[in-house]
Amino acid sequence: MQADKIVMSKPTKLTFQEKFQSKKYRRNLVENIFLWIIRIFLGAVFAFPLYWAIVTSFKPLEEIISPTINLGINNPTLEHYKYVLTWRDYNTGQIVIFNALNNTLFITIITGILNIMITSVAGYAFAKLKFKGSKVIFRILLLSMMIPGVITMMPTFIVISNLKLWGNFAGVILPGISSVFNIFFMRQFFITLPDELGESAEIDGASEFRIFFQVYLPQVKPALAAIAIFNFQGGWNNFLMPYVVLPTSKLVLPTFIRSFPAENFGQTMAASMLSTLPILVLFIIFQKYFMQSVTLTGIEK
Amino acid sequence: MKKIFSTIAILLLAITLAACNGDDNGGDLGDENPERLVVWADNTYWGGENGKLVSAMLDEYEAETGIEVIYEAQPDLDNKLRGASLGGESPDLIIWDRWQTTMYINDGLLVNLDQFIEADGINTNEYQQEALNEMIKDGSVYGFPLDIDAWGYWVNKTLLAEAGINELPSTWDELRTAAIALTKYDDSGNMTRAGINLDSPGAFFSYIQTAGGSVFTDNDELNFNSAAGASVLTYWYDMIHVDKVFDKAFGSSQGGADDPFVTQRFAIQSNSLLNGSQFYKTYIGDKFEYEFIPYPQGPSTEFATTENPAGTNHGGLMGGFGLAVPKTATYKKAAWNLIKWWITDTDNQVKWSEISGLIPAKLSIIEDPRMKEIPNVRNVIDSLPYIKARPKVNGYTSIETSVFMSKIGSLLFEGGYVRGNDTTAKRVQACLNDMEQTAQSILDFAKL
Amino acid sequence: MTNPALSNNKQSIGQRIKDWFKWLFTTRRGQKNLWGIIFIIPAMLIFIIFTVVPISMSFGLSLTNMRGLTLTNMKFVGLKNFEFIFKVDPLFWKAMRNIGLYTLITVPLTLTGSLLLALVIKKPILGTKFFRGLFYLPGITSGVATAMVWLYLLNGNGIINNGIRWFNDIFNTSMPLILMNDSRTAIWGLIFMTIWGGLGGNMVLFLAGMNAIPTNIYEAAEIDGANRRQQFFKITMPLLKPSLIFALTLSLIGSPQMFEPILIMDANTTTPVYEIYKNALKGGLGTGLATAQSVILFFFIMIVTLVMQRVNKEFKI
Repeated sequence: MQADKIVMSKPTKLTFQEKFQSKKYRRNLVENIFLWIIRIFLGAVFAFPLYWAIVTSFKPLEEIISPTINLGINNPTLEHYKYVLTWRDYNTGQIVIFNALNNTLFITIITGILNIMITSVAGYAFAKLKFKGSKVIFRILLLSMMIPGVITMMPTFIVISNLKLWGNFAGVILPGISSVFNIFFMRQFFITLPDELGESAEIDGASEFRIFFQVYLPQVKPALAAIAIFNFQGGWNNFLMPYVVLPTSKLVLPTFIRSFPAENFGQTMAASMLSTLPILVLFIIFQKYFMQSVTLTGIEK
Repeated sequence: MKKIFSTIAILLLAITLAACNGDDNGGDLGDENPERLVVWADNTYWGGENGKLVSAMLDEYEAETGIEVIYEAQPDLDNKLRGASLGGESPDLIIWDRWQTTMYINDGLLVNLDQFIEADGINTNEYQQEALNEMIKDGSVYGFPLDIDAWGYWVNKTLLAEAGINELPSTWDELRTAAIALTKYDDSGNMTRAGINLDSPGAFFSYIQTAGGSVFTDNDELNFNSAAGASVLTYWYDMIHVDKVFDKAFGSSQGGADDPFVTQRFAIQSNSLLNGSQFYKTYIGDKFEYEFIPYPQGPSTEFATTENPAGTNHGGLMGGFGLAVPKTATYKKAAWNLIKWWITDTDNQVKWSEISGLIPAKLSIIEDPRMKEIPNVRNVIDSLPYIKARPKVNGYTSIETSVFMSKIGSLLFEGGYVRGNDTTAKRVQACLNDMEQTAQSILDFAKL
Repeated sequence: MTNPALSNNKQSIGQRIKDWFKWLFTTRRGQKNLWGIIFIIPAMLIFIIFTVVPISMSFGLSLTNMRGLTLTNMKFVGLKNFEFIFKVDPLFWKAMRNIGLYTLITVPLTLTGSLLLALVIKKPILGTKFFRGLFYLPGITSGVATAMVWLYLLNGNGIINNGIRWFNDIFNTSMPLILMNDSRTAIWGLIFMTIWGGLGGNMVLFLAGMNAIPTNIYEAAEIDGANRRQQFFKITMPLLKPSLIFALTLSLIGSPQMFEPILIMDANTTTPVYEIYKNALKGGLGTGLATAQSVILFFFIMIVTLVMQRVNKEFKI
C-alpha cells in the first residue's frame, strides 16, 4: 500500500566515518584528546608526591637513602609497615598506632557530633526564630569570620591551660565544637525553607524544639552531610591543637606520623599512608559530598 | 551590646581569678612512695635509641624501689612544660637541657630543691660547679646535673693519617692546615669531601674564648665586639671563602646512615660528645677511626699579639642535661628521691655513665683515673677546667639564635654585609657592629 | 517595648533585673526571645570563651610582659613590646619578608592555576570525575603527611634537587638547591608545597562558579560570532568575579598566617606566626611580645584585605 512509503525511517546511527566528515565533530574530538593529554599530564604532576610517598613506604632503607633515583622499587618490602603496625609503647605495652587511631576517632567524632548539634541549632535560631538581638549578634559573628586566626591562637592556649584543661581531650574538643562558619552555613540553608511549615506545626501545638527537630532539620540533610564531612576532615588532620595541648601518651594520628626518627623516611611514609587511608576511602566513596561542601560555601558567599 | 560586654568582663575576671593561685613552692610534697612516677624528657635527644638508655636506668630504679616509673619522650618539651605548668597533666620529674633552666626558674616553673638538699645532707660541692651552677639562681638549687657534655669536633683519624697528619689538631693554625689538607675536589671543581663542617655559628661563644675574649664581661655586659671576636669571624670567613674547605649545600643529608661524617663527606664534624657518642658508635662502628677533640686553642698566628700568643687560649661550651622537678608535680618528694638515687649515689652515677657513655657530674668520679681510660671522654675531662656553660643572662637564649646564628650565618653563607664593605675585615666589623646593636637591644628588652 | 534596663529611671537593682527578665520573656506576636536565646547559648558560650576572650586577651596582653601561659606574675609595660618590634626585633621582620614573598607568589599562582584547572576539567567527557578527584586529592591529605612527603622530596639527594642539579648541568645555570634546612631556599619549598595543596580546593570553587553560568549566554555569544577567548574574558571572567574575590580574600587572610609546616618540618626559615609561637611557647622573648606581634600581623592582614576590597569597589575590575 502507499501508506508504507510515508512511514519515516528511523534515524540510523552514523558510522564513525560519517561522523568524521563533520568539521564540528572533528574539532570536538581533537579538543577531547587534547584535554585528555593535559589531564593525564597534570594528573601525573599532582599525583607524583603521593606516588613517591607510597613507593618510598615500600622501599627498604638502603634504597631510600641511596643517592640514585629509582622510580620503581628494586626490593619491595613490608618492613616499614610492619614496624609501624607493631610498635608498642614502652610503658603501657599498647600498640601505638591503635592508641593514636582511637584518640583521633574519639576526638573527631565527639567534636563532629557536638559541632553539628550546636551549629545547626544556632543556625536555625538565626534563620527562623525572631528574637531580640538576633540581627546584631549575627552581624558580630559574621564580622568575626573576617578576623585572622592568628590573633586568637596563643590566647586560646592560655584559656585552655588556665581552665586546667591542658592534657585533657576536652582541651582539644571544646574549641572546635562551634564554628562560626558552620552556623552561617546552616542559617543559609534554613532561610530557604518556608515559614509556613513551622507555623502550621506551632498551631498544632508542637514545642519549639519539636518544630526544629522534626520539621526543619530533616529538610537540610545535605547541608548536614557537607558539614559532617568538613568537620571530619578538619578533626582528622588537626595537628596544632593536639601537638600543643596533649602529651605524647595521648597521641593522635598527625602527631603519630611525626614521632618517627627523621632518618627513616620509610617509616614516616608508611605511617602517613596508614593515617590517610581512612579519609581516602571516605573521599572515594563520598567524593561528591566533599566537593559539594566547598561548592556550596562558595556560592553562599 | 551591653550584655555581651558585661559577659566578657565577667569571664575575663573569672579566668584571671582562677589563674591567681601563685603558690610559692607548688603546695604539698605528695606521697613519698607513690605507685608511679612520671618522667619526661625531650624527644630530640632522648627519644628513640637514647630513650632506651634512660628506660634501662629507670628500670633499675623500679626494681629497687617497686615504684613504677613511666618515661615519656615529648616533642617540644619546653612547650609542653608550659602547658602542664598550669595544673593539667604534669610530670613529676624532667630530664632537662640545663641551659634553659634560668629562664624557667624566672618563670616560676621549677621547684626549689634547697629544703631537700638540707634535709638529706647533700654536699653540693661534690659536683662539677660549672654544671651545677647552671641550675642555681640566687643561691638556691633547682636541679642537679645528669651529665656533662661538651661541644667540639669529631675528627676522622683515618683520613687525617692519609693526608699525612698524625697528630690531632689542637690550635687554630693546626686545624686550618688539617682542614685544607682534608678537603678534596674533583676535576670539574665540585667538592667531594669537605675538610671541616663550619656550619655552626653557635660555636662563636666557644671560639671567642679560645681567641682570648668573651661574650660577656663579668658584669654581664656585652664584650664580643672586640679584636677577639673579629679574629674568630675572620678565621671562619677565610676558611670558607679563601681556603674553600666547606660548602653548605654539599653537606645536606637525610641523617641516620646518610650522615655526612658517617659517609666521610665531612672529614671533621662539629658536634657534641653526647650527640656523637651513641650515634657514631651505631653508624660508623669500625669503618674508620675517629676521635672527639675539644675546640682548638687560639688565636691564629695572624691575630696573635705579644699579650696573646698563638694557640694559648682554651675555651669551649659545656652542655648537658639535668634533673629538675616541675612545680606542678604530684609527687615531689618521690621525684627528689629519684634524683638522689640517680645523682648522689656514686655507684648509680657510674652505672649511668656506663650505660649512656656520658660524663657524670660528680667530681669524685670525674677525677677517678679510670675515666681517663675512656676514649673521647678523657679529652673532654682534660678541658673541663676551661669550658663554660651558656651565660645565664636574661635574653641570652634569644641572642644566641637571632643574633649569633642568624647574623653570622648571613655573613658566612649568605653574602651578608657585603654592600659597602669590600674587604673581609670591613665585613666582619660590620657584622660585629650589627650584632652588638641588636644584642644590646634584646638585653635591654629582656631586663625584667 | 523598649528595654527598661536601659532607661535612666532611678529604679532599684531588683526592679531593674525583674524588668530585664520580663523583657526577655515577653514575646511580641511571632517573637520567640527565650527560645532564640536558648538555641544559641551553647554556640555563643563557645564563641565567647574561645573567640571573644582570646581576641581581647591578645590586645590586652600585648601591653604586658607576660611569659608562657601563666596569667600571674605579669606587669603592665605599656608600648614597650611594640617599641621593641619596630625598633629592634631582628627575626620578626625577616619573617615578615618571608611571608610577604610567600604570599605574593603563592596567591596569584594558586588562583590562576586553579582557574586553568577548572577550565581543563570542566568538560564532562569520560574520566572527568576521576581526574577531578585526583586534582582535589592533595587538599584532603593531612598537613603532617603532606609536609613529611615534601620534606623527603626536597632532600639533598631527593628527586627534586637531583632534577635541579641535572637542569644546572644541561643548561649550565646555577640554580640553588631547594633545601628545608637552607635558610634562603626553604621558603621556596613551602611555596611549592602550598601551591600543590591549594589548587584543588580553589578549582572546585571555580568549577561551581562556572557551572552556575547558564549555557544559553554562551550559545547567544556564539551566534553573535564570539570566539572561545572572547567568551572566556567577556562572559566567564566577569561572572566569576564573586568567586574570584571570595577565593582571593580567603587566600590573603590565610597565607600570611602560614606556620604549621615549618613546625612539622623543622625548617630553617621563619614566618611571623612561627615567631609568635616561639616567643610564647618556647621560652623566647615572652608571650607579651608574642601577642604584640600577633596584633601587628593582624593589622597588616586587615589593611591588605580592606585595600583589596576598596580597590575592588573603586575600579570594578
